[in-house]
Amino acid sequence: MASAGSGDEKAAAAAMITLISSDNEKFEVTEATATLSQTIRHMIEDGCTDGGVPLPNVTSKILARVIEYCKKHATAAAGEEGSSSSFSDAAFLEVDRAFLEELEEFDDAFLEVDRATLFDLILAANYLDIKGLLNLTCQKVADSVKGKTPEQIREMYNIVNDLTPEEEAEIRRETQWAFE
Amino acid sequence: MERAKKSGAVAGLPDDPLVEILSRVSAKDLHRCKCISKGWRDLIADPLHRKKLPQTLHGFFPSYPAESFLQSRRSFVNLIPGSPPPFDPSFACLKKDHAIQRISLLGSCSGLLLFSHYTYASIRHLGYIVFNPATEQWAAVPSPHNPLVIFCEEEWKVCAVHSYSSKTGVWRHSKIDWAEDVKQRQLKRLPPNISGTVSHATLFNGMLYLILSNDQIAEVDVDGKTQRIISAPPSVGRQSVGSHLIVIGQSQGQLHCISEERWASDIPSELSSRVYTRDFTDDCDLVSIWVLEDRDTLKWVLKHSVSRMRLFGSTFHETEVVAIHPDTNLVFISLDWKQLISYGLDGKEAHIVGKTKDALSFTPYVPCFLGFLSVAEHKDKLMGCREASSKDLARAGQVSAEAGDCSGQRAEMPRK
Repeated sequence: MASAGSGDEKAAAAAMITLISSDNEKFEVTEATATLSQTIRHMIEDGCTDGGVPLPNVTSKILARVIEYCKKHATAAAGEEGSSSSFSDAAFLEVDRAFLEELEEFDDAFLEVDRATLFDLILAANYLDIKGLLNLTCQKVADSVKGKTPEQIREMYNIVNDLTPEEEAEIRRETQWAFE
Repeated sequence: MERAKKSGAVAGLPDDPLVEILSRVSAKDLHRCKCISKGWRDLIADPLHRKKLPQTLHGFFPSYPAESFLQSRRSFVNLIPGSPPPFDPSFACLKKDHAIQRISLLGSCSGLLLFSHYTYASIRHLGYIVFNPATEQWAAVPSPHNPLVIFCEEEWKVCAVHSYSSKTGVWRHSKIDWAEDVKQRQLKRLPPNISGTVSHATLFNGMLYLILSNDQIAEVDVDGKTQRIISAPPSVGRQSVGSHLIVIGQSQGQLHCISEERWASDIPSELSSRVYTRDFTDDCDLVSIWVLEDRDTLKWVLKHSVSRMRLFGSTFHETEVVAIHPDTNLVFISLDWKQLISYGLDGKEAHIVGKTKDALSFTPYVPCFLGFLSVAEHKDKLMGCREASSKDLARAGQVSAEAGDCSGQRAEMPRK
């Protein structure tokens, strides 16, 4: 599973970056893939990526998924840029739409993970500052909260209710309409 | 996974990602989430996060006849009893600016209040002022912030639209041309006008919806161009007297309107389950809430209908439906110009939410904590803008140019 960065990248000469997970696994990725992370982009700009980028907060399992996401989205971004000059507007739109549809399918499939993995992806996206991934994963959790009662949400995410009955009653009184 | 349950962390997530998640839920869900635990409650209440989190209707500014907004004692009907409205109720920041003379409140949108600005003697119209009470920023229009659409009338007919774009920084002027709509028989009568009251216009998904005097609704874009004419919902009773539209508004991501009818009778059986009266002898003066479930077919669906008898116990009260709550099934009604009451469509109960002596209208207020792009050089603009005629009957639709940043109100934002 740690075979990221091989084969399909067209620019073989492109600068490669080594990412090192918390459990010491090394991943080689192109700069285009790595710079979807603002955190890594800044490290590259500061020239401190020689010898690899240690990511002590991210396990190899999660890092592999994150790289999978970044590769897909970096390719899509490159495709958009490259095609704009060589197609007529209509053809460009067509390609553009196909890209977006494919990307959407990818994102949907990408989110088919258990809750612990989803939270770990959120933590990684937050730490690595990958806007698209943070958006995607946070939206998934937000959708799961929609229309649920506080009891249901507590149960779903194993949260202990440490509010006193009085405190809870006060919150309910203040915005009673939200609980109807 | 070794996902450590840090103390203080909520659901195993640090604050930042949790705020990211909560910025994507509805205001209703957010308020429910306050009840989950102390951690969630405190996170949501933290002023640091309110720029990002969805805000809800905090209350209403009552307006009194012939008053200047700054001269009278400003009252506010607060709907969230435990938390004071997030602004200084004396509006000292506007008062201390001597360039501002006499202003009157025209409307509100996206946390901004729109004022018409006059000389002290109310003789000369100086233009418009956009004010965000939560950030205490204000701008004379041309505002650096938002597109603004102003409708002008002459001899009781809407004749011109002036729109200001914050992007290009120029005013555009156009005539309202409903000739084509008349030709296609979309308009019932010619020429309709726009009442311009707060409850007769709303911004929804980047479009402005206006109740016309002929009981139709115009869908208008931010350039003031009419896109569609929408028919009012039918009366609830097959027979009724004087059915007409009184409110248009957004609630829970759908366009709603409220109509009133007198002496409704012969109510179709498919609607009768949604009609609530006191008893069989009820005279059936109905207040009906409709929702536009499908924006393409433009068909209104009856959500709830209640008789005035059931609402007020008598038909002798002077009442006016003021607004629909943007995040829940509540409507607000002014009773005898003395009280503002809320009526819940789910619980079917009315409550007094505030006393409002002789208020003529109510401007809803949903806070917004985002800043203007720039507030510099207001004073130059303040005296230089005399675009609208003194006869204008204005209603502004301000569309945030920062749709992406205003995730708290995404449901109302245009997607560009």
